Amino acid sequence: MGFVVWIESFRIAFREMLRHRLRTTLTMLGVIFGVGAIIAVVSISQGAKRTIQGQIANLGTNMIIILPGTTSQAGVRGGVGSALTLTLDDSEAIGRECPAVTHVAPVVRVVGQVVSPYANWSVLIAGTNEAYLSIRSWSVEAGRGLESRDVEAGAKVCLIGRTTADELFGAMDPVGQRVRVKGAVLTVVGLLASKGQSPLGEDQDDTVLAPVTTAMSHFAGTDRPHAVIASARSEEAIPSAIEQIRVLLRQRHHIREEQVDDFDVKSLEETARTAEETSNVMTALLVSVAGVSLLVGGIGIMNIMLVTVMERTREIGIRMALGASRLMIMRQFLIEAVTLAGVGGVIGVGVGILGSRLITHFTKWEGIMSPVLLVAPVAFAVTVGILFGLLPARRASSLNPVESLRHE
Amino acid sequence: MTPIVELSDVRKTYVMEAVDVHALRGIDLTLRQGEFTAIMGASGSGKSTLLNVVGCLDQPTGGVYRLDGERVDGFNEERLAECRRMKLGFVFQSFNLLYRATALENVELPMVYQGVRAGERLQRARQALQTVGLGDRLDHLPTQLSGGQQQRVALARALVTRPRLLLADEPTGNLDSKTADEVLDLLVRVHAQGNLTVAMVTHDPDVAACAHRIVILHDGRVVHDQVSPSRGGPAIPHIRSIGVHGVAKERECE
Repeated sequence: MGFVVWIESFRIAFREMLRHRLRTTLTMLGVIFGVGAIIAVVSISQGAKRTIQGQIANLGTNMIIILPGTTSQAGVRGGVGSALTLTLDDSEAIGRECPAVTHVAPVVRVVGQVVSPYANWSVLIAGTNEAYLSIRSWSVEAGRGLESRDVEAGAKVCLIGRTTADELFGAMDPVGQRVRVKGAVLTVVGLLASKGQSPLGEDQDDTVLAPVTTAMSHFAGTDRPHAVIASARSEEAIPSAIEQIRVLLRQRHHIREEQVDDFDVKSLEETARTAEETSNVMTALLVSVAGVSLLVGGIGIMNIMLVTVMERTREIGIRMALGASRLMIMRQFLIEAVTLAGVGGVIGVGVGILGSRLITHFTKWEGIMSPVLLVAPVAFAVTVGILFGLLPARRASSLNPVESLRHE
Repeated sequence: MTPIVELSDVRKTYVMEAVDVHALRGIDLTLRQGEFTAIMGASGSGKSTLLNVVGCLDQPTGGVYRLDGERVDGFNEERLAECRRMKLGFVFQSFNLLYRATALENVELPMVYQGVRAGERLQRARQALQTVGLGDRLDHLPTQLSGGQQQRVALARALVTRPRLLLADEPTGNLDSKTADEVLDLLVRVHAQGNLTVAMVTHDPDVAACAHRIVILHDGRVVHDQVSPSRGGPAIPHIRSIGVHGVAKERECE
């Protein structure tokens, strides 16, 4: 029995919607944009999250970064790296004495003009050792990588990144060519595989890698590394690797119990987590803005439903006279509100998908859709429909049949 | 015969702007199965209020009302709606059709609330419309029908649920005299055929003349209750109007 009335209620709902097409469309717009915005925002931010995760994984496996630390002289505290407190010996000691660490590479960095027979290009030059590439999960596309003998001998060799190679040599094969870096002539022995952007948007392929010894003696202007990078045995071993490095370095630097570290050890996972948290906060923020617009859409539905109830007062009276109970009337108007919201929601899904596609198309960002992402906003829209439909439906159902029948 | 409506000392008092308005001041009235009763009275006499109370659209503020043997005064909204749904049929002066629904859909509507399935609903609605002579107007909207036709749709809608009691509120009030006659004839005919109980509010003596029994209200009380001599027959041939509106008129009824 209830079944028949339910079907009739849906039929009436759709008929009313079709009858007032403009009104229906305008009312649904709020919901359509709300749902569409949620879907577009979430899909884009999930894509961004995946990109960030990929980029961070790209930086290196189980990578730990040791930065020379703060100095404190006569109460004046310098920031991180204000003094190069790490040494090449520290770097070697870490590799030798920390069981949780598999590879260690010191890094000196300098920006310098690199000159080829054809062009010159300002680039970030890193002096490091043979372990660098494996720590950074980086491979060589052509030629060879750095070898320990290069470092031992201070060999005048270098590897160059894809972008740098393009700038200096165009379409030519860079391997075997010579470049000049601040007066030192280096032979290009290898071309690095393309690695793309770092999470900060830097082009990681615009670089030159040279043996740390060569860099220090010819163009870095320092005999201490700007950083030491290491890789832990496994992801689980990262915390113990960090602890081992700290203990070792404190000992080597003669840091007393009550003194703070003069270096900083952190893992990329932490950085990744921070980046992920940031993106989660952004997503939450954007979704709540979209959610608010959906709520505003709900208010639009409530508004138009109140108008509808007013307009159809007589109809309500007639239905009551013919035997519709208050509950049936209430249900009918609630169903109308929910249908408005639901149909708006489904259209919103289409708009959301389209919006996400458009954004990814023009920005080259990534968008990720999932069934939950498509269904949840519609469910939210329907809930909004129920909530904002309640008041008009209650008003309809509480009309007095005698007065409603007299209503013009 | 079985009493359908039993009112004893039924009162209805409204409070309007802090003043008590006594619309019904103790009505005792019994309508029996198959009776065709006209309820007359000047405006403000309480006839509409009485119809609303009998029609379970409104609650009396005092007295006892039994509908079809069941005491309904004090019923909640839900049970009043059920009474309207299962036992009553309404015909209104202004037709009160859903103007956006076809004739057929209008007639189907009360069966929707009864929970009748679509197939049976359709068949019964068709039949009801044929009975009132609108078998060829099923898909017309009320706006495409004349006043008389609209009222016939309303009549079909009221009859399709086979109500225990048909309540008609000035059913010919919005019609010209010729159309009014047709609708009235139809009412008289379906009454005669179906052993239907009809209560009709009117202020028109000519219309009232079609009834077996004429109840006249004045100031919320029954002041006159006349049963025609030929009770049980279709209707009396002639009746002198009761003088509520002065001039006596004669009118032929079936």
